[in-house]
Amino acid sequence: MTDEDTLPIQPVEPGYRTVLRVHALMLAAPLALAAIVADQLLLRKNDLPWGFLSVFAVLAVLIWVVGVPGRKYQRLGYAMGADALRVVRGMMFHTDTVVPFVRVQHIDVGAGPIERMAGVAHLVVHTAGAHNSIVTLPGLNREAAMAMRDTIRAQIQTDFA
Amino acid sequence: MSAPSDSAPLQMGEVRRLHPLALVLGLAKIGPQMVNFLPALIGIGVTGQWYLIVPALGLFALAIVGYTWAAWARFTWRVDEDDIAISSGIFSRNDRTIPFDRIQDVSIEQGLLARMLGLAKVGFETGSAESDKKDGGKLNAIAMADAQALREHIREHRAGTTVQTVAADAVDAPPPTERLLLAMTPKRLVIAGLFNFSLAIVGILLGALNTFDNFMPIKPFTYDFWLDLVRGTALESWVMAHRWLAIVGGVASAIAIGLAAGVIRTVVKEWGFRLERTARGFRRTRGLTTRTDVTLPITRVQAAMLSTGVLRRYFGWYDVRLQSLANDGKNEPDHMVAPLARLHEADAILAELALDRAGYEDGIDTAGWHRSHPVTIIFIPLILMGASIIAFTTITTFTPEHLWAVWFPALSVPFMAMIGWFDWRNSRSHFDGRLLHITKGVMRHRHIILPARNVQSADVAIGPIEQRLGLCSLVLGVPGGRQGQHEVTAIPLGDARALRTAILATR
Repeated sequence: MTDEDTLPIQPVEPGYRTVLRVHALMLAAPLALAAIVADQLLLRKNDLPWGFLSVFAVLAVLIWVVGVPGRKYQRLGYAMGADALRVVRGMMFHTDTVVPFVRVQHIDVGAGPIERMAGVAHLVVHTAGAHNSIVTLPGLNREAAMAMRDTIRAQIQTDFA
Repeated sequence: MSAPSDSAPLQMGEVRRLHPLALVLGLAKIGPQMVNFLPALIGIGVTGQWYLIVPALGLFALAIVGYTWAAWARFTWRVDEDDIAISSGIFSRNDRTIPFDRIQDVSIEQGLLARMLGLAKVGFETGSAESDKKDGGKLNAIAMADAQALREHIREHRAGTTVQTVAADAVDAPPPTERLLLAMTPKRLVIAGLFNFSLAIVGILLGALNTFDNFMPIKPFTYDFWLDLVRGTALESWVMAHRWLAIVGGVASAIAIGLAAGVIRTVVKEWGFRLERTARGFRRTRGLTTRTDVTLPITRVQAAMLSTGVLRRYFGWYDVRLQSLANDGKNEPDHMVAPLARLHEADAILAELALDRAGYEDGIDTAGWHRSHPVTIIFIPLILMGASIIAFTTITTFTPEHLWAVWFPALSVPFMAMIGWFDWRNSRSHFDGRLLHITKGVMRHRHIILPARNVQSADVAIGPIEQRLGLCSLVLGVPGGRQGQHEVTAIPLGDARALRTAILATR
């Protein structure tokens, strides 16, 4: 077996950063809107110090939507070894996963609506067991994901014994 | 795309949809789906615009029909030479590939309506549990004939490839004689029960005694009870002079009840325990009220756990559990194969699985074993300290009269540090090229023996504190068990990487 640790880590498609940003925006925008509305309607109407909440909400959204996804994208990478897939991810909690191809049970290639708009897809490999058995690699070019699937697929034989 | 006919033989590489009658099955779900219409109904009711109800209902029904149709139209499956590919999802698309080599079983399911329509639901069981939960890996409605042809096709493929492995097993396997590995005598059951002393039951009892006055016929915590007991004997005046005896007597009764509860529980559960080695694996029979007979094939065993407690270790008693793909009952993920055994008996069981303890517990020098970084000792105490500081500031600011409450987290800091230190002392790991040994635990000491070839995936995980110290945890995915993983915590990054490479290289 080759040493997966020595393989260069490849970045995923920049489209994935867009996906992360859209997801973050969808989550953060309603919250920010609520904060701004509360600021205007509750604080301002009642002659309380207003404005800070709105500014804070906008700043938080900026960090959440622009900063965090950028970092997340930077920290995500993968390497296809000769007989194993390596996925590296995480900012605060860094995880570096290696899945040998012979351990893969079945494989998914999928894409949600936002992913499709950004031109990316995700590859999911399932290993045996109930927990910790799903390893997802997002942000791949669809063709690349399918090629990786076929590579892994070709390595699966009944050497389970 | 051709509409599938009922009796067409399985065509390789043909992209197929579910049976058109699947739409009928989908529409049958309109009834239950009406729950989702309730909010709209409430809205209409509140605003009093009842004339909207017919158009709203129509729109809702139309949406369900549209959804059902779209889901059907976007679902395709294809059988290839040695795998099946399923594409599904209306907006969120998913293409699943399931190699036949990984399919352990094909399930065919028919509901009442499906049976009337001649349809079947086909599921593929791989080793991954997740495949059961989502419908992405299922064929919800295909013609029964297709389902049977598909199952036959997959079985044939499996039969073609598994002949070799069966032959290999037959060579390695010991002669098929049933041998007794361990039997629990009643005496040993009682000993096991004594170690099973249940503090929880004592707690519940004391609580019940406190709350309900007449919970028990006797009241061991009252002075009068003990006085009545000795009335008229020579002890009477002595008991009368020492009121504290009521406390001692009460505690002693509670402990006696706890011990008795442990013994009863264990005897009922493990009565007549026998572990036998059969041709293919282990066979365990046990139980007084519910007698169970469990067969555990050797090939399904993923890891073994040798556990003991502080007292049990002192007396030289251990228990052995096996982590397998199946669960041992609802609350116990691991199969108990030796509730109370001497080391040599445990070794005999482990030897059947080609496992060993690598000399641990034999007083060998474990200097060569990996050890967690001592930072793990202060990790929980640090969090507790932070908590008590926050508690202190909050309480002094708002309710200074309750400051005494700070003592609880504050006093637990040294206590947890002590526990942490014992835990660290017991946390070791060692890889001998075939087996990974992990030891851990204070009150319940565990030694996990994990064959490297059962490791499905390996994570090197680095938390924020570990990052500063150049440490990481190695998390190994192993099927079965409570967590489905085993962990070597707080070891240097370089060591973890080397260990991972060595483990994954094992075949």
